[in-house]
Amino acid sequence: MSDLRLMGVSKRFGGKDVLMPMDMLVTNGAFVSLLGPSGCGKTTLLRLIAGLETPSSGQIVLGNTTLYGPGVNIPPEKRRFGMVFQSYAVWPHMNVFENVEYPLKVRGMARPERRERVMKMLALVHMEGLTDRYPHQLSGGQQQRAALARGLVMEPPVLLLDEPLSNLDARLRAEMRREIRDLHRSLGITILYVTHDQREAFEMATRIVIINEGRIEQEGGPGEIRENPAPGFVSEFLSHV
Amino acid sequence: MREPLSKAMPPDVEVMWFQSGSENIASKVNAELAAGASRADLVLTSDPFWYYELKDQGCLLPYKSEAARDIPDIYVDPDGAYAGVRLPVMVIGYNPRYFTDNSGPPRSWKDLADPRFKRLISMPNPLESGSSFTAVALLQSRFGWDYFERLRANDIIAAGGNSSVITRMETRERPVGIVLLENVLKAWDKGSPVRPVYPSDGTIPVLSPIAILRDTRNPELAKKAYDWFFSDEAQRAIVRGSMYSLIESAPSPEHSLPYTELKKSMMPWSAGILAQMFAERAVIKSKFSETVLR
Amino acid sequence: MFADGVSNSAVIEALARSLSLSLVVALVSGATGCLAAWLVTRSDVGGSRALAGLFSMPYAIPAYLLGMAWIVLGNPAVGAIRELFPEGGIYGFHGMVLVESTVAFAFPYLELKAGFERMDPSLEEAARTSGAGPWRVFRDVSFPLLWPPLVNGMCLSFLYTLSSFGVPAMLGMPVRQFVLTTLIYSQFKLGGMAGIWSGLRLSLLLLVMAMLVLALSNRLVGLQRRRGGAITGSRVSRPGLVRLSGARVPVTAAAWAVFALVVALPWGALAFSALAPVAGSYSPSEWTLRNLEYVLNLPEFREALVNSLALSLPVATFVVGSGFVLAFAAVRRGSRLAARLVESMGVPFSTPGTVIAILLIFAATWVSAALGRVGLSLDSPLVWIALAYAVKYCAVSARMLTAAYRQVHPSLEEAAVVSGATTFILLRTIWLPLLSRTVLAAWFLTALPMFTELTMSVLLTGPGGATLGTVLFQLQEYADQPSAAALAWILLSAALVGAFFMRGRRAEEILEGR
Repeated sequence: MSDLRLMGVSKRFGGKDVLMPMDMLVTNGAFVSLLGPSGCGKTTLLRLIAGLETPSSGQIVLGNTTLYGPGVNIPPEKRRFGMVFQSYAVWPHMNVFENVEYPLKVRGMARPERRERVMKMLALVHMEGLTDRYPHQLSGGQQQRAALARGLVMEPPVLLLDEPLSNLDARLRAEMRREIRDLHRSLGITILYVTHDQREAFEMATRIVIINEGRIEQEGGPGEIRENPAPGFVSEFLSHV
Repeated sequence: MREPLSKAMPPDVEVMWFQSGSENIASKVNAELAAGASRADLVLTSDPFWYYELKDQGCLLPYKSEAARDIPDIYVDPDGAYAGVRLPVMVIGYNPRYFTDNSGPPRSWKDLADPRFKRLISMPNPLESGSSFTAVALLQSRFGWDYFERLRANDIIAAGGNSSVITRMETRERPVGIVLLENVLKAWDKGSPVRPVYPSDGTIPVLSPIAILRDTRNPELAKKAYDWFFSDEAQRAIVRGSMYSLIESAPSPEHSLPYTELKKSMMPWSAGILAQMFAERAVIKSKFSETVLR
Repeated sequence: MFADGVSNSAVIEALARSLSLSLVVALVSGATGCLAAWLVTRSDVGGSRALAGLFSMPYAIPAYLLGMAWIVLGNPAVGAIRELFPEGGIYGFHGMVLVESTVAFAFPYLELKAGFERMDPSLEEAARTSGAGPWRVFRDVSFPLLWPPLVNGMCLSFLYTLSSFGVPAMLGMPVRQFVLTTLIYSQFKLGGMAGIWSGLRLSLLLLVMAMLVLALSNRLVGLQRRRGGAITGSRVSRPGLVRLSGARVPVTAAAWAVFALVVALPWGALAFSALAPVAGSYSPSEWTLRNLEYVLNLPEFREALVNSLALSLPVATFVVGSGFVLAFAAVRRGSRLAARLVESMGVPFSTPGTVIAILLIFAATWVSAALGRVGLSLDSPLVWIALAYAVKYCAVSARMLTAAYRQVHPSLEEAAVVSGATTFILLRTIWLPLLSRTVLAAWFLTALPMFTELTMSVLLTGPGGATLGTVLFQLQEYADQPSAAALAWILLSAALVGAFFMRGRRAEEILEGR
C-alpha cells in the first residue's frame, strides 16, 4: 500500500492563481478531509490528483509511481483512483448493476468475477436488491450509494470524494456520514474527502487540511485543530457552525 | 424603360413592374392563373410558346394595335392575341482567347457537331430556358435528332441559363456556346473577350411577344401601355438593351450584325411553325432529355 | 406518366438519386459533425474556441453561390484545384456529396456541440476515473446519451439535402445527373400551365419520402433505452479536457485544414471572382474593385439589405421563440397538439422552396381575390416572403429545442414550479438559460438561410420586395459572374465577422440575463 505525496503542486488558470504551490502528504489508510469555503481550490486540488486537470507545476507521487512530474502526466483512466462526484454521475442509460460493474468491465475482468465483486460492493452499501433499477428510479441517497459502490469496486488505493453529500437532505447526510466512516474503518482504504461542511470533516476525518484562496491555512488532526485553531481565517471559519 | 413608360401613362397611374427570367414569370403567372386570376395586366417575355398556350387557354385579351402595324405578320398573332415587340436571336458565342491558333471557332450550327469541338460547348437547358427551347425546336426540325446525338457525343453541357453559358465561355471551361446574342453583346460592352458568330446556316429567332391578359382590371390602360411598347422611344430602348427591333427602319444594336444582313440567313419563322412546334413540345422535351440529358 | 415530357424511368432515377444523395450526406455529416463537436468541446485541440464558431460557417453561404465557388475551384477544365478531384472534377455525385455535406454538417455539429456542452461533464469524468480511455468514454457514455441530438441532426441533414436545389442544379445538371428537385424545377419553368400541376405531383412524391424519413427518425430516437437523459449539471464545472498530447499538433493541423477546405477555399474563390475584371481572369495583376463598387452602389442593394434584415431577424426570432414555447408544451407539458405541430413542421422543411413559393402564390391569389371583394387590397410581397421563410425554416428550431428539452432532467424545473413560478417566469429564468446554447444555435440555423434565401424570394418578389437573394439572382442573370460573386463575397464576409462576434460567451450572457 502506498502514500500519496504532493510536492510544490500549483494551478494557474486564466491568469489567476487558483492554487499556490503546496505540499501535502496523505498517509496510507488515512481519512483526509480538504475543508474550505466555496472557490478556495479544494475541488481543483482533488481533480489534479485524479488527473482530470493538469497542474501548472509540481509533482504528484503515489507510492513509487510518479503520476505527474517532469515529463510524466499519467491520464486519469490509468491512475486507478476511485472517485465519487457531487452530482453522483451515475449513468442514466445503465442500471445499478451495469453502473457498478463498469470499471471492472473496462479493465477486462471476467464476467463471473465481476458479478461476485459487484454484489459484494452493493451489499456493503445496502443496495443488493436494486440491481435492475435505473437512476431515474432511485432516490438521491440511493444514487449516491451506487456511486460509492462504483468507486470502491476496483478496490482502489485511494478513494476521492468531491462534496458527495451536499445534494442530500440533513437526515440522509447524517446517515451517510456514519456509513462512510464505517466503510473507512472496515476496508482500511485511504480516503481524500472534499467538503465545505466542517461537521462532515470533523466527524469523519483522521486529518483535516483547511484551504483558503489556494493556500493551506492549517492541517492536523480534528482534535488538534479544534483546540488550537490558527488565528485569522481558520478561527473565523470554524466559529460559524 | 420604366420612366418613359410612366411618363407616357396618365399622371395618376402607377406602373408596377415585375422583372425576372421568362420562366420565372411564366411560373408565377401560371400559378396565379391556376389559382383563379393573375395580377398582371401585361406580360412580355422571350418564350413564344407560352403565349401560344395562353391564347389556347383563352387567357389573353385580343387587341389589334395600330401601333404594331409595322411589325411583320410572321411575328404577330393573326387574332391579335399577342405581337412580337423585339427579336432576341440565338447565335454561337466563343472566346477568342481559346482559339489563338489557326483552328478557328465554329462557323455554323453544323460545325458544332464536329468532333473537334468535343467538350468545348455548352448551351442553356431548354427545360429551363425558353430561348433555348426555341433553339432546340428549330434545330431539330432543320437537322433532326441525329444532330443532338452528335452534340451529346461531343459532351455538350446543357445546364443553367444564358448567363451561365457566358460565364463558361469567359472562364474557358466551355469556350463555345449556344447563347442569346444580347448576352454576348452586353458582355462585350463590359470588356469581356466573348464574341458572336452568326451561324451560316441561320441565326435562330426567338420571338419576344407582348400580350394583355384577359382578366386585366384596366383594359384601356393596358392597351395604352401595349401601344407604347411599339413607339419609337420604346424600340430605341430595346435596341440599347442589345436586342433587335422588329421595325425594319429601326437601328441595330451596337456591335451587332445589321438587321438587314441578319434577315438574309435567319431561320424561318411563322405562326404556322409556332403552332406546329407547340403541338410537339412534350415530345421535343422528352426527346431532348433522352438524347442529350442522359 | 408522372410528369409531362419526362419518362417514368427518369423520375424513378431522379428519386433514387435524391434518396441516395441525402442518405450519404446525412451519414457523412453525422460522422464528421460528431467528431468535430467532440474535438471542440472535449479535447485540447488548438484554437478550439475559434474553430467552434467557424465550423458551421459554410451554412452561411447560399447554396447557389457555394456551387459557383466550387465550380471555380473544381471544374475539370479550368478549375483552380481540379487536380485534387477525380475525373469529372466537382461535377457529379461525389461533388454534390462534398458540397452538400459542408453545409448539412452544421445540423448534427451544432446539435451535438450543444449536447456536449449541456451534458454534465462528471458523467464522462466518472467513466475516465473508472478506467475508460477517451474512445471508450465516447462509446459507452457520450454517444448513448447524445443519440437523440445526433439522430435529429442527421434527419435535418437528410431532409435539407432532399429538398435542396442549388447544389444539384449547379453540380449535377451539367453532367446529366438529376434529382427530384431539379426535375420539379424544370416542370415549373417550362411545363406550361400543365407543368404547375405536374411539378406539384412530383413534389408530393418527395413529400412522401420525407414523411417516411421523419417517421423513421422518430423511431430511432425512441430506441434510446432509458429516458431521463443527461442531467445538466451546475455550470461551474468545466469538463476536464482530453489531452491529445502527441497527437495534438497533427489533429489541430487537420482540423484547421478542414476548416480551410470548407470555408476558406470557397471564400477565396468568391474573392478571386469578385475582384476579376471578367470571369476567368483571376490573376492578381488584373484585380479591380469595380464589381464591389458596383454592387455597393446599386440602389436595390440598399433596399435589399434593409428588407433582408427586416425579414430575417424578426421572423427568425419569432420562429425560434414559438419553437421554444411549442417544444416546452410538447415535452414538458405533454401537449399532443404541440407535439403534432412540431412534427408537421418537417413537411415544409422537406419541401423544395420552389414548391412552397408556388403554393403561396396560390394562397396570395385567393387572398387577393377575397380581399378585393371587400374592397381591400394587400400589395406587399414582403408579407408573403416572410411567410415563406417562416414556413420553410420553422422545423429547425422546433426540433432542436424539442431534443434539448428531452435531454434535461425534470427535477431541474421542479424546484421552481414548487416555489410558485408561472410558466412565463419558468421559461425565462430556468429554461432559457439552461437551453441558451441550443436556442442560439437554432437562431443561427434559422436566420442565416432566411437572410440569403433566393429560390422563394425570386418567385414571390414584386415592387418594393427586393431581397439580397433576388439581387443576387439579378446580378447572376443580368449582370455577370464577378458582380454576383462580389455580392456573395460581401455577404459571406459579413456572416463570418458576425459569427466571430457572436462567439459563445457573449451571446449566452445576453440570454442568461447577465
